[in-house]
Amino acid sequence: MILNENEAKNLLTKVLSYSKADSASASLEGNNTYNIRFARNSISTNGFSDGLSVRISSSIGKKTGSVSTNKFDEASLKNAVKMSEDIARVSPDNKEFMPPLGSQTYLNAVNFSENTESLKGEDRSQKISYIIDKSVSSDVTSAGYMEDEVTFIAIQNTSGLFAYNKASMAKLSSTVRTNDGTGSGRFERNYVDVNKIDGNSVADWAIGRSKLSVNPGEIKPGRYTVILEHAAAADMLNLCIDFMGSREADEGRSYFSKKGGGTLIGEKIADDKVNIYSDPADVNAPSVPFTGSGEPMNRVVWFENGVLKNLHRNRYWAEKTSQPAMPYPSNIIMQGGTKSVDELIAESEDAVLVTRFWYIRTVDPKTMLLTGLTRDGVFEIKNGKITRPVKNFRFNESPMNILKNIITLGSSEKAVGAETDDYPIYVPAMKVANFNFSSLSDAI
Amino acid sequence: MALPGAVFANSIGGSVLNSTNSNTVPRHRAYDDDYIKKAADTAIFTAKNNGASYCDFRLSNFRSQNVSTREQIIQSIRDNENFGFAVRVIIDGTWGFASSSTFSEDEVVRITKIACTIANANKSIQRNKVELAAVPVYNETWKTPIKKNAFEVSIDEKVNFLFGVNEKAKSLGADYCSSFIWAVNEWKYFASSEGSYIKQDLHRIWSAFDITVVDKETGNFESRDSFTAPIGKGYEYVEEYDYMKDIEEAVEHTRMKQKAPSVQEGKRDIILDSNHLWLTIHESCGHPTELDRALGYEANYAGTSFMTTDKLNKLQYGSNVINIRGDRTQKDGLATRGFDDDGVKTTEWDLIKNGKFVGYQTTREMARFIGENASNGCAYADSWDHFPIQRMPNVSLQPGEKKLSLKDLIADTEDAIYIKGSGSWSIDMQRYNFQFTGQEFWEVKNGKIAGMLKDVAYQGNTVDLWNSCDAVCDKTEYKLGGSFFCGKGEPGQVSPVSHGSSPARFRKVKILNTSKEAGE
Repeated sequence: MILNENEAKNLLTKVLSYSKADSASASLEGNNTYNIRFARNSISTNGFSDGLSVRISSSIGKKTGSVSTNKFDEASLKNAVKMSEDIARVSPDNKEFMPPLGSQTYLNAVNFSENTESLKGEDRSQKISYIIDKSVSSDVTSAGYMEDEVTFIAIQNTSGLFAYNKASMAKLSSTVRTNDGTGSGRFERNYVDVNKIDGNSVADWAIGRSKLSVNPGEIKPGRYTVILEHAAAADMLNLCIDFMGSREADEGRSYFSKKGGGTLIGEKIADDKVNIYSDPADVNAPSVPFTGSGEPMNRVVWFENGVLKNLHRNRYWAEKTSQPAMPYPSNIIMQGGTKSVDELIAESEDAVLVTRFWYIRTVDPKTMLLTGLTRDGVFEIKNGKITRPVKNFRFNESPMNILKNIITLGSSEKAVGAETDDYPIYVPAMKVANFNFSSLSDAI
Repeated sequence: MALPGAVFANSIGGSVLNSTNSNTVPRHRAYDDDYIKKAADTAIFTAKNNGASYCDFRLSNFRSQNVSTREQIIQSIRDNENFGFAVRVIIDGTWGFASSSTFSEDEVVRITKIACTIANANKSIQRNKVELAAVPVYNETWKTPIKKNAFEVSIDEKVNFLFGVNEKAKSLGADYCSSFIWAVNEWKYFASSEGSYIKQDLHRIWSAFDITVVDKETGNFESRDSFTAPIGKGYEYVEEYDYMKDIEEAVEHTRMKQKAPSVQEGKRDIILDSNHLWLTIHESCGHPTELDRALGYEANYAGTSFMTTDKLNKLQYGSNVINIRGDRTQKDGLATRGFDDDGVKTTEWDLIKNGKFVGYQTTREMARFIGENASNGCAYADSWDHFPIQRMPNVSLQPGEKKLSLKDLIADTEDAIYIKGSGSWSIDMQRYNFQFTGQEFWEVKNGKIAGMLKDVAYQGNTVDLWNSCDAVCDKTEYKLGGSFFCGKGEPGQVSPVSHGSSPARFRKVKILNTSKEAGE
């Protein structure tokens, strides 16, 4: 269920009117979500979900309790507020309690599109129908997913804060496998505006990639120059940001901790070409301009010309360490160059092209060592051309090694990695030296 | 359109019970059985009137309570309740699904009609019509046999317990300690157009801690998670587990790990403890024996499987000491319940028998693809607004039949690494190539534990690993491990699942040095 700003404000005001706590905040979230899933060149499951829920956090002194519910009759709301207060009352003092924020100013949001809100059932069917029909006529098998939704979030507290954001998101993805089981291609797109998804074009590309990747040969595992396409680069960037917590670094248990104490902020720890920032109002990767507690999200530079500029930290840690509060970013943007992936290939003498990654996990937080696999097309490049498809690899590599070993950045685009989900990332394809492939995988 | 009686009206016999001020009374208790049954009958009636050949109605209430602490600080106390219903229909062999968090007469009718509209809209792109395996009709109730309801234990008691855990760790020399208690109560009412009415009340709990020891001068830090397991029990699990022993060992062993020698890479024998092996079973046997994966239904998200249908009853998956069963009736299992979300009574069956691949996990929709007439009951939806899909039952390695304790196994081993606890894990999209780490790595030399190692990962191929297993300890060593969060499906769903095993030995497995892998 989508409430407009006034409706949300009225409901939150009502919820907070039941509060007997020293301070309280309430947040509403609602959604209208449609999805269609397909596999084996046919529709499989689908659904529509209409949801609305409220979370109430009550504080008595430095004790806080939170309760969420999706029942909105008066008795249930009163009960939820009372329950959050009861939880707070029986809790010990939270030594890291921070008082609620007062009224805030937010960037203008650009994360809603009427095109997505007005999408019809036949529009969804048409997008999927093209992929399925083209897969059948191309003698390949596709599986995929389309989802479009409108959501809203509204936050109000007893100190005068109110925040509201209505958002939309449309996503389409498909994995295309050749019928002999030796080739695979995949695309995934998500945009605020459904009209930005050129489903037919990306489906054609994925079908082409599946055929290009059939019967892969072997390259010996080892360290190679790689071209990471956008989806692969997005995963590395996203996971790197995950590690960039200020508190862990200050406490000496992070890659970003300095030996002997302190952090690496201000030090050049990546290649000169690395410039990474967050900005919810950037149209290339728009996001909600506030956090779940109503803290404003503004433009923050994380890396500038390879120098680490900031680490993210909550309000408590910021106050304790006399540093600025820096919420976990709601999007990531990395400046790229001008070259397309094809141009990066054309200028490469000896490299491996990686389309995507899969199942990435942390092996060692000290070195930020990650493991995972390649998928949906790995190709040998010799003298500026793709010469043959090669088998998938398991890699063991640190995203910071990647940021240190950049040779060339391609142009940036909105990308979805294996582990990024809906997190907005605008990232360049990257040509990187010395990437560590640990072993081969027979998986397609 | 006529309805089957004025459902939801108090005068018909169903009633909305008075709402209560008690914090421990779950939402679904606001409605009595007659009221809910009439809602289900309304959905089924409406669906049939709109052309559906099948309909099921699922009303669910998901409660969770999470108390998280760090040192003597509360990180969060959260009590969530998520209540709603879903209607699933089949029209001309095409599914339609819709759901809502508003439970009222008008909404049940509206949502059922939306489900029918979606099914009709998607018929044109349906190439494989849905056919469901037959299922008997049930009118039953099932409940997790808990001793102590975690939702009836005060927050205060939980916080004090966790603070005690953290304090103990700090007093022993840990620099940081976090801990939590997470309780879940999943209540479900299922009714189908075939005549079943099933009510279930499921409980599970997870309580864990992790400690970190830091040497700021060298920048060296090491961590260790508790060896607790999420489990299908009540609060009695928290009271029965020996936390103090686990904390003492965690701190002592983490300090040892800081000073331990880095492992030499190469082929080594490994002994995997139950508190590690559960995850290896999950990733390399639980997932590849999911029939929907093998058929390609998960190709766009969770992946496919190397265990394709042509390999059923042919593939020698492991050595002849390997027997792995799927079981949704297993005592204390996270995936244990009376019925699945297709309304199928749960059961147990062989997946791997004497090393041979002999079975899949199925749903009513999938069973026919391998010529089965019945589902083995693996449909599950993690929320009222999600479509039930094939999810993993408890998948467990059966203990060895010959008497063999862990002590006996170590005594019988010349040179190996004994791995405890689950660390990092990753496996490819067809479940061939894996890499796992753990929490503790002990070197075994000439039948004895010789000391601790660090920087250990093992890597290999699923079939090679299970065929290299030459010993599984007996049932006296059998323990459950598991996860609250096995991910699958689009939109993404998580399911809870347990895996039982006794420690087992694997020969000549590829060992990596993770420090060298990072280029250090």
